[in-house]
Amino acid sequence: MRFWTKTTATILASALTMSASAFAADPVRIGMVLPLTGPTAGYGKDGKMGAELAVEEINKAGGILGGRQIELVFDDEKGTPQEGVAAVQKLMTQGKVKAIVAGMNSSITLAQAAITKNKILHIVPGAQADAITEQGSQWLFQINNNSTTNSTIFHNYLVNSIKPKTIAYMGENTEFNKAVLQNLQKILEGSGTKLVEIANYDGTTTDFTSIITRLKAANPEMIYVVDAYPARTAQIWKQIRQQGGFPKEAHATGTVQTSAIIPAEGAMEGVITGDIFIAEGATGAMANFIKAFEAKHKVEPNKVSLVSYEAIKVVAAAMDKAKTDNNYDLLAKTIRGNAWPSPRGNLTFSEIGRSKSPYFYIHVVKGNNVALRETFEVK
Amino acid sequence: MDLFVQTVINGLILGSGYALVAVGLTIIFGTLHIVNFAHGAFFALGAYAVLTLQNFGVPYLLAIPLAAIVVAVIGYALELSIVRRALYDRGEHGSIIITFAISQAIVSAIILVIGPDPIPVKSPFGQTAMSVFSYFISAQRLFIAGTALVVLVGFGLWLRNSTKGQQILAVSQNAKGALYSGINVPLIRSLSFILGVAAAGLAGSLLAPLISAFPTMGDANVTIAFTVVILGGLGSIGGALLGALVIGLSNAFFETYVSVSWTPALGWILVILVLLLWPQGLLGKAQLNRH
Amino acid sequence: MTSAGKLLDVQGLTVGYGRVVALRDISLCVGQGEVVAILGANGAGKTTLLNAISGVLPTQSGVVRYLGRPITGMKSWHTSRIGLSHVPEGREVFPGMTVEVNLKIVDVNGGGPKVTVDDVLTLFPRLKERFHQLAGGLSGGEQQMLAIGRGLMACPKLVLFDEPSLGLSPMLSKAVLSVIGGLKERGISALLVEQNMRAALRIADRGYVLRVGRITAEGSAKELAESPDIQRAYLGF
Repeated sequence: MRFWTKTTATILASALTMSASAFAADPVRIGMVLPLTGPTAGYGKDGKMGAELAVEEINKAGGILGGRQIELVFDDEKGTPQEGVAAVQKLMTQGKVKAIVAGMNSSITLAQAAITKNKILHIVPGAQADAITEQGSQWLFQINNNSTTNSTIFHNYLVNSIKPKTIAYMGENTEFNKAVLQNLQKILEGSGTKLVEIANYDGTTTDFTSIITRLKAANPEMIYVVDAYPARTAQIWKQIRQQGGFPKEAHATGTVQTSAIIPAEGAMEGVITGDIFIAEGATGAMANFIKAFEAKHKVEPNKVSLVSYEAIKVVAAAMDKAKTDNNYDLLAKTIRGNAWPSPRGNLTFSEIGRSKSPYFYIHVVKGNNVALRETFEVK
Repeated sequence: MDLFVQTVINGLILGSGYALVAVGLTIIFGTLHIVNFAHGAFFALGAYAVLTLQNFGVPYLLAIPLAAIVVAVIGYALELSIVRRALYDRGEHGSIIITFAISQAIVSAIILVIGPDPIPVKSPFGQTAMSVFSYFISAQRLFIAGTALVVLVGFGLWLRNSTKGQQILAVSQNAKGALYSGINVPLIRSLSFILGVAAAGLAGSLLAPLISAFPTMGDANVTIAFTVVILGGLGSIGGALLGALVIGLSNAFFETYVSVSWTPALGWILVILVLLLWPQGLLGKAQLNRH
Repeated sequence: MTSAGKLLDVQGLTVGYGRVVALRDISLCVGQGEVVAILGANGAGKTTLLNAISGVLPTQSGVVRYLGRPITGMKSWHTSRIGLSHVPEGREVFPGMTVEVNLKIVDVNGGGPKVTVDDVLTLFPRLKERFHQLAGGLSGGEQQMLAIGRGLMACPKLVLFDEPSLGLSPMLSKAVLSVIGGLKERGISALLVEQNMRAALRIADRGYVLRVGRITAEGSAKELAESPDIQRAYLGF
């Protein structure tokens, strides 16, 4: 009896090993949802390039889980929550993917997170809203800094270093931007700076002349624009410039890329902003990443390329370390319990899945890009 | 007082831009009974045509009329191949689906050929703003308003005084009657479609230096143009002009003096109020035809 | 009459809407300088017949010859260019345009006797008074005059009239029909569809009776006026 048990076990075990080795050659499919078309399609392009570099590096180094290659499956969220959700559902049901990397725009990401919750590992590369990691999704991780972290550093910098007496705020009327506004109001409390005018405009607005006229009538020392759409950002700053500009000018953190600066044609010159990334003066791992990226894509990477690159790297490394591509409890535990090397240094994740960038940079727009103004260590 | 005058200037300039987009929309609706959801795509084509011509070294001012012609040619090709076959006399419902599909196709084609990123469009007026008695007027906006005025007045005179122009109005008033008057109705419809999309292309080429060229740049402008056209009366050209000025001025005043967040709703609130009082829109004519 | 002498010669015309056949095997002709009436009850297919001849409606089979040349299937904007005008039922004027523009909008020369705006105003002095008013504000009779005037502005050789007296007062309808009857003196022929049989036969040279899509009788105006067949056609048997 005992003999038979042993033999059966041996046969079973060898069968399992055989099937395991048969699977070893199969690639691990990772689904990536990006805005490949629509108003934020520039983010999609940048993110795709970053992810492709990560996959190339991983596969060249022999893949993960004992030699399995990584295969990226892209889908287009077209810049709307409906399409974003549909793309995630398609990848989960038909795409046979083991993990989802999705999220540049916060409202789209929130809709997608409801679908992936308790179903699949979800890595959010770009979106910053605090709410994304506050929905109790155990298998969701945010690569970028959350909005409050970035805003707090940036708003403190504005109040303490730039010291405008008055600020006028204008921003698209979204939940995400409202959180930024509330953060600003909190930090302004008890400071010498007063918020004199608030203009929340609708996403369909194309002409900002009247809004700017209204803000100028309040005669603020600084204008603070909160908008994440590159084309509209360029347009707003052009129109601000046409009306003579403001003594001090700032734009929300994490949203100023060359895709906004170049079409603004110099209108953003001198605007203060901030982000977790800057190519200028990079050293070590960051310099290597920039070099590899430029070699592959012939353009300079930006923040979106970086976080997409990191998202893929974290998924791959975690699967390799946890030795599984579908035990999501184990994968999530592994991600939380370890530090993950990235161009920015080691990334760690909090209990709710938030990562914290080691550094935050204050930028100022200069020519066709941003220049470094000051570096802060994130506490 | 200063703020008031600046707001009036802002509103008038804003309205003149809306008028160009709205006139194209209303002409196409009037003669073809097509709700042209592809209008925004033709607007974008106008901007990209200017961009491409500039890359070939054509100066901006010359590129504007050429861009309108390019859009007219593309519009004519689509009219012959799709619109004419699929849409005439099929009513407004079919037209929504088909023009929407055309719009998606054009936007996708732009993304494939040129790419999704916004591209700046250079204009000799650049960022210059004129400061007249301390009022700020952007030179580009003034140029847009002036061109819109000249084009619209010229177009209006042509419609009223030339036989072809009158035939366009005739087809929009009574297409059946036009058949009995020796009017080549398909030709007039093609002509209206071409003129309508060329107006959208012209608006795109004029506004491009302000908003940059990107594939979906027409969407927001066309949404406003729809409120303008409904407000003024579908198919009425004078109504489109009046509607554009009403929406331009009321948006400017509302944004400056009341609330920025509520401005997009304002256009539709005006539309609802006007339609309650005058179901045909401000200048849309009730059919007087007595039998 | 030989085919060459005929202005309009219709042979075996069949017209349908989808599967419903509205006209079956119609043959008729109009000679130079003739006024020909087509009589029949409501729904007999009279309007369809005129629309098929002028090219507003497509035909299924049969031939329409005009001055010996086949024009079957030719579109209305082409038939008006070769001298075939159509004054439709319901007038179909342009309501938002003045009387003047309604007349001047016709930029077609059909090659028939020259007709100017002044000629139309002489024919219908009422239109002179209304010259700068919108067509939509005219009375039914005035709109009918305008529609006839518009048809004549294309300098036609043959005019198709569809129920020109419909809805007009007896006095007005008499006036309108007398103008139509007088056209042949100017060298313009007419094919006239009318419900008012007596009035039509008074100005016509010949006539056809149309009953449920077929021609059931033809003859001179005098013969038809006396034929009992006509009475039946009008009662719709």
